[in-house]
Amino acid sequence: MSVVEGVLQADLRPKPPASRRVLAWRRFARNRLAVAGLVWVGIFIIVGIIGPWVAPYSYTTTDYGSANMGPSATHWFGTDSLGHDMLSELLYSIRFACIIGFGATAVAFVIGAILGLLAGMMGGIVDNIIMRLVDLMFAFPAYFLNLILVIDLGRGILPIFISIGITQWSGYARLIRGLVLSLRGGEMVEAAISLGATKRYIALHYLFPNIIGNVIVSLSFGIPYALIQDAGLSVVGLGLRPPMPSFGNLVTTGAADMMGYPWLLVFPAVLFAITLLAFLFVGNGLQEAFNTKGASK
Amino acid sequence: MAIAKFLTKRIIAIIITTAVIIALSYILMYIAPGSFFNQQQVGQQAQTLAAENPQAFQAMMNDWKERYGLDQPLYLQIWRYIYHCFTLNFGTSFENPTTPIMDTLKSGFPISFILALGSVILSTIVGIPLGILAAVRKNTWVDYVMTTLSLGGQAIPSFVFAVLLMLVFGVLIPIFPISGWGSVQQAVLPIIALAVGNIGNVAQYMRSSMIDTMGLEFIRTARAKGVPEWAAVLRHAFPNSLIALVTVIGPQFAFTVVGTVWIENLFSIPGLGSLLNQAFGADDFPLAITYIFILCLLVMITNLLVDICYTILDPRIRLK
Repeated sequence: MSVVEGVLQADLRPKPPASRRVLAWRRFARNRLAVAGLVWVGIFIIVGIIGPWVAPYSYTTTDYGSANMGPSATHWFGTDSLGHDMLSELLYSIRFACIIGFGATAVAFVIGAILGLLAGMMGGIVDNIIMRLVDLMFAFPAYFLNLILVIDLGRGILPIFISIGITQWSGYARLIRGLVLSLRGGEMVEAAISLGATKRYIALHYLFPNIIGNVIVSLSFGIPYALIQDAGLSVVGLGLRPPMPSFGNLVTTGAADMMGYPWLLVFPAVLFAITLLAFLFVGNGLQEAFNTKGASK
Repeated sequence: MAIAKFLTKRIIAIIITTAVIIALSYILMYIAPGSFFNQQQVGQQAQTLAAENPQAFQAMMNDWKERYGLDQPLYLQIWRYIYHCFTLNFGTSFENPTTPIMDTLKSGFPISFILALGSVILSTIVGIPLGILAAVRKNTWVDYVMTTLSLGGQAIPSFVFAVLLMLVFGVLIPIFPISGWGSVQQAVLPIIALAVGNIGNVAQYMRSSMIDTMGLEFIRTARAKGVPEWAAVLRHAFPNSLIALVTVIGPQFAFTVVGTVWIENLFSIPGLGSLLNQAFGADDFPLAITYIFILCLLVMITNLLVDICYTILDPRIRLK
C-alpha cells in the first residue's frame, strides 16, 4: 500500500475527545518510573494476598536444627536464629504490611474525610474546632502519639493499623475541607445549578471528578507513610508483637544479628526499601497525571 | 510592635498546645491496660513482697502512689505533670526513683542534639550544591539522576539506611564501628543515615527554588549586563533561592527528631531515644511525659524560629 492510499483510507472523522481518566492514564504511562512502581506495587499486593498460601512454612514454625542457615534449596532466603524460614517470614510480612498500610490509610481517610466534610460544610464554630484539632496534630510528631496508642490498644494487626490511622487523619481533613471550600459556592457549581442540574448530577459530574484526583494522590502518599510508621514502631520494640513477622521486626532483628548472618538483614531491608520507592514513584506519577499541586503529604 | 504581638500570640499557642498534648498523653497512658508493676522484673519482686509481707507491700505501694501523686484524682495528676513540666521539675522515673530525670536528660540530650545538628548541617552542605547542579543542568540526565536519588532519599526511612550502612561499612568493609558512642568514628554512620533523607529533601527544594529564581527578570538583566553564567547562578540566583529553603527546615527538624529515636536504638547510642522503649513499653509515666514534653516543645520552638527567620529574610511576608 502506498502512502497516498494509506492517507486516503485513513479515518479522518474527528475522534471523540478522550475522557479525563484516559488522559490521566496517558500522562501516567509516559512516566516510566511510575509504571515500574505500579508493577511492583501490583506484585506486592498479589503476593500479599496469596503469599501465606504459597509460603513453604508457617511463621510460627521453628526448626532449631537448621537455625541461622544461609540461603539454600530448602530455605531459599535462609533461616533466622529460631529456625524460622526467611522466605515465609517475608511472605507473611508482605501480607501484614498490605493490611496495615491499606487499613491505616483507610482509617485515616475515613476520619479525615468526615471531619473535613463537616468543617467545610458547617463552617463557623465546628470548622474552628476541627481546624484547631488539625493544627494540634500538625504541631508535634504524631509518632509519639502512636507509641502511646499502641500501648492502649495493643500490638496486634488491628490495633496497630487503627492507631496509625488515628494519628494520620489530619492531612486528609485539611485536604477535603480545602476542596469543599473551593468548590462550594464556586462559579462552576453555580453554573450547573443555573443550567438546571440536580444535586445528584452536580455531585457525580462536577464535584466527584474534581476531588478524586487530589484524593487518590494523597492516598498514594499515605500508604508508604503508614508502612514507615509501622516499621518505626518495631524499631523501638513496640511494633507488631513477635513472632508475627513484619518488615520492621525483620529489619530490627536482622540488624542485631548482622555480624554473623547478614542475609537476615539484606532481604527484608532491600525489599522494604524497594517497596517504599515503588509507592513513591506511583504517587509522583499520579500527581503528575492528575496535575494536582499541594495534595501530597 | 507587630513582632511583639506575634511572639506573644505564638508563645501562648505553644504553651496551650503543649499542655493539651501532655494532658492527652497522660490520659491515654493512664487508661492503658497494665501498669508499671506488670513488668516482669518489677512485678516478680512486688509479688514476692506481697506474698511474704502483705503489710510492707501495702505500705510500699501507698508510699509509691503518694510519691507520684497516683492516689489523687485524675485531673490533679494531669495538672501535676503540666505544672512540673513547665517548671522543668521532672521528678524521678518509676524505674530509677533515685536518679532525677533531669540527670538523664543532661547526659542524653547533648548526644541527640549532636546527632540532629550533624545531620542538618551535613544535609545542607551536600543538599544545596546537589540542588543547584540539578537546576543548572535541568532536564539532562544529571537532573534526572539527582531527582530520582533525592526521591529515594525521602521515600526510604532513616532506619533502613542505617541498617544498610551498618552492613556495608560496618560488616562487609569494616571501617566504621556500628554501635556505641564517644568517638568521632562512631558518629559517622548514624549522622549519615539521619542525613540521607534530608539531603534529598534539601536538594529537591533547592532545585525547584533555583529553577523558579533563574526564570526571574533580574537574572535576565544580569545576563544582559554580561555577568558570567557562574556569577548569575551563584551570586544572583543562589542567595534569593535560599529563602524558600528555610521553610523546609521546620518539618525536616521534626522528622529528624523522630529519626534520632530510631537511630539511637539501632546504634545503641545512649541519647534521649534510647530510653524510649523503657518509657513507653514499661508504662513509666514520668519518663514518657518528659520525653513528649521535651521533643514536642523542641519541634514547636523550631517552627516558630523558622517563621521568624522567614519574615526577616523575605520582607514581603508579614507576621500575623
